[in-house]
Amino acid sequence: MTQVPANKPFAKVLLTLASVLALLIGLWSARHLLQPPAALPTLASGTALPAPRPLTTFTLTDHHGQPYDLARLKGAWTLLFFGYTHCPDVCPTTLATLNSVVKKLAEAGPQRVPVHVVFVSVDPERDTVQRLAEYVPYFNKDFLGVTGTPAQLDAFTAQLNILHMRGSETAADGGYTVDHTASILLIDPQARLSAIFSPPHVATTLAKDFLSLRSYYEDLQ
Amino acid sequence: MKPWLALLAVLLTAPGLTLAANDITVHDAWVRAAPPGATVLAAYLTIDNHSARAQTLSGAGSPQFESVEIHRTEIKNGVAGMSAQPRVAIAAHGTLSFAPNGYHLMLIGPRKALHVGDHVELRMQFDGHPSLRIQAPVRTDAAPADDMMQHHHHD
Repeated sequence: MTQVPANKPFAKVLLTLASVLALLIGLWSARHLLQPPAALPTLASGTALPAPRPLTTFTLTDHHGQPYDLARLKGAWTLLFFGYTHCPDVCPTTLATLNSVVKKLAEAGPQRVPVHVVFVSVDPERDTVQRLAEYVPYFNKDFLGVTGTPAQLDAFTAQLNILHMRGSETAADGGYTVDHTASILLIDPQARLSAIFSPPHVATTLAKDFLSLRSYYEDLQ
Repeated sequence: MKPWLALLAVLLTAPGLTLAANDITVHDAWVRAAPPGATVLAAYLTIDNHSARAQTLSGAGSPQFESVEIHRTEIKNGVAGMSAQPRVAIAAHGTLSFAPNGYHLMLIGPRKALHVGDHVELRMQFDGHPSLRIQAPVRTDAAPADDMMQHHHHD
């Protein structure tokens, strides 16, 4: 056993420094190795589900005429918005906002997992595949329009708690409006409902919320 | 010039007498560009009422559309609904903004396709005033501030 000679102040100082250093290393290790998992982020633009809810099987058709089903949601983050092409205000406004969101996400850095934007029609009578093909890519060529039979759409919207109903008639063109939930839903790469963003939508806030939620889930892996 | 004509000219150009021009101004009008084949578009603008009494917007039209209706989007419990507003009051010395997700002029049935950079002539009818004509440029989005920030970012 070695003893520190009491009459050697230099050695004493050295020992003290070594102890402090050891303490700091210990604290640093504890902080980094024993850190509890980060908390689910609080979103400024909506709510993140503490337990993402898996979607069940559904059948729809995309604007290329291809089947759009549960498998299409897997392996990508998907931002889902529901609307109709005869909608002059909320739907084009939201699609333009989503275009800003994806630009901001691209600027934020490379994406290991792609982010898809899908516009689901709640007006199957008027929104044919051809009509969606004209309408949706106008806002961004990568956006996908999706429609189906009324029964197919009802089954899909019901599992996501999306409400839609025929609204008022528009006098001039013999048309009608459709009232619909204006939330944007975030589906994670395992096809689970992960977050609900509430209207009115702001691109900057939405992009920020998405990034914090994505990094939360990436850290968990 | 006949004396009564001169008097009329003075009256019409004197401040406070040209009712429409001085009581109400409409500014920052724009129309959101819509995909080809779109049958309805929306115009947004701001109405200032400079007068000491409420003014009423009771109609609108455009030679470039079959009809124009005043509509309001309301989002209740996350559900967006839209309803026609035949008459909209602007409070004395008040301002009313027609903006996305709120009031808008619903432009129905374009006579020909409109593109970014085109202008839409809007005729707005306020009770007790001659119709007010304004030009609204067609744009992709409302947010010029946001666009400018992005441009700076790329510079």
